[in-house]
Amino acid sequence: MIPITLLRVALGFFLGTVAATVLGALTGYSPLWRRLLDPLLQALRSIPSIAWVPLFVLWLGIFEASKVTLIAVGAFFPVYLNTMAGIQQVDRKLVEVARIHGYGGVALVWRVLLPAMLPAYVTGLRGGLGLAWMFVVAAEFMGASEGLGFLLIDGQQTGRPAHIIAAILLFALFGKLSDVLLAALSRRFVAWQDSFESAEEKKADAADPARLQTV
Amino acid sequence: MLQIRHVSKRFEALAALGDVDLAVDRGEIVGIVGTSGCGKSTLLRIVGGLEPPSSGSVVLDGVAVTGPRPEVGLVFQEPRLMPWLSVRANVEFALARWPREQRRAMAEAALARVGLGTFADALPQQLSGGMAQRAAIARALVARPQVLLLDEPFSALDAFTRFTLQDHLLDIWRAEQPTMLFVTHDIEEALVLSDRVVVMRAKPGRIHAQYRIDLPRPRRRTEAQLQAWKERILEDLDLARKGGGAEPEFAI
Repeated sequence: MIPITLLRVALGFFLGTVAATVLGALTGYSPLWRRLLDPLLQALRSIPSIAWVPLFVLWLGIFEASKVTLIAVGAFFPVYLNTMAGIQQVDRKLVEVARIHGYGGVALVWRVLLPAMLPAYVTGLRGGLGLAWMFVVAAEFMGASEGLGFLLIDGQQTGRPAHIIAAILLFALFGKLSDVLLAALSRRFVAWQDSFESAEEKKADAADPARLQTV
Repeated sequence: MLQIRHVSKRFEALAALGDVDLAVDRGEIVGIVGTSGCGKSTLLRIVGGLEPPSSGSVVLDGVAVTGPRPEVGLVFQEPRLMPWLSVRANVEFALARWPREQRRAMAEAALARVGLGTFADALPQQLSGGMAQRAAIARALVARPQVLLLDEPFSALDAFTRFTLQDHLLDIWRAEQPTMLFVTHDIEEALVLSDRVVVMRAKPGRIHAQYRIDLPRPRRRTEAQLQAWKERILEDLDLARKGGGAEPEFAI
């Protein structure tokens, strides 16, 4: 029950993230691509997730492909929006410094745009992962024979609320765990941020010497 | 060595610079003063290759400047350090053209020169404003540019830090003799540092007057001759208090 759901979330999240990163990078970097693609993507974003279900079932069948695609669609938009915004919001002054030192093209992307956009990107990833967990339930409502979403439906049809509550608790557990994992993995890439949060954390560390030692 | 030939710049309907002509000798320090909006920063950005002139040209050692050049270093008003890189890595950022194995030693030498040797591993957010600006100067100097352009480099700092960094800049100049062109709105700063002070006026931006400051360095900020020049420059800028009286206390 659990592994198949985890697998669907992981695969859908991965595919959605890859597509979102490519398209978000394109629309964030190039005004031309932004004008071409962004209005369409924004329109797609406002379609309720469930509306895709019949179409995906018809096109992709009732098995894994349609489920993973639905999850990928869910994970796509937060990652896409934050990738695009992250690139657009890179400080023009830092880009100018890079130009002065002869950076352009790939070097400029790699040394300035990428590191500068990472905090926004991580926010997008966490949002995308959260939505992947939402969408896996919708996906597993459409004719699954296993998975946590199936457990919800099955619990209802066979009159076993304990199963439903167990599935709900597992969603909470895995959703939280995966988010913590993602945040931990990304921490070293965004640790440089001189933000309100990091200042508050330093204050907390200073106020609690025991915590400082464990860090 | 650096020739600014009939450079003008228009931003749509606005004439930011109208026909600026200026030649700078090798190793010379030229300070450009003027009120805000006189185009002095625009002039510096054109010399640095960040913006093309609308007409005219900038020629460095016989070659026209069409974009950023490794021979030209630029220090901005803000430090503009990459917040995700250590101070050392920020300085190494300027060494992309150098062999990898030389970068670290060069960056550390440049940081030592500006007195930041012990802060190489710090992140920019851990530095004070003056230290961050020194790191920016180290970044501009590490690749040994022949020309150093400085755009109001100390204007965001307090007076004491400013004096220290001005002296510091002169030490570096004595050691390496780069040609320096700097923009400031602090007349005293221009007089203390420069071989030549260029006064610019606005609408459109143009050179109004030039003064050769042939006093030995280091100069005392209170020196009587400097005060006399300051008075004249203030008059050039229509900022001297009319009818004599007390020395005007201007920080434009």
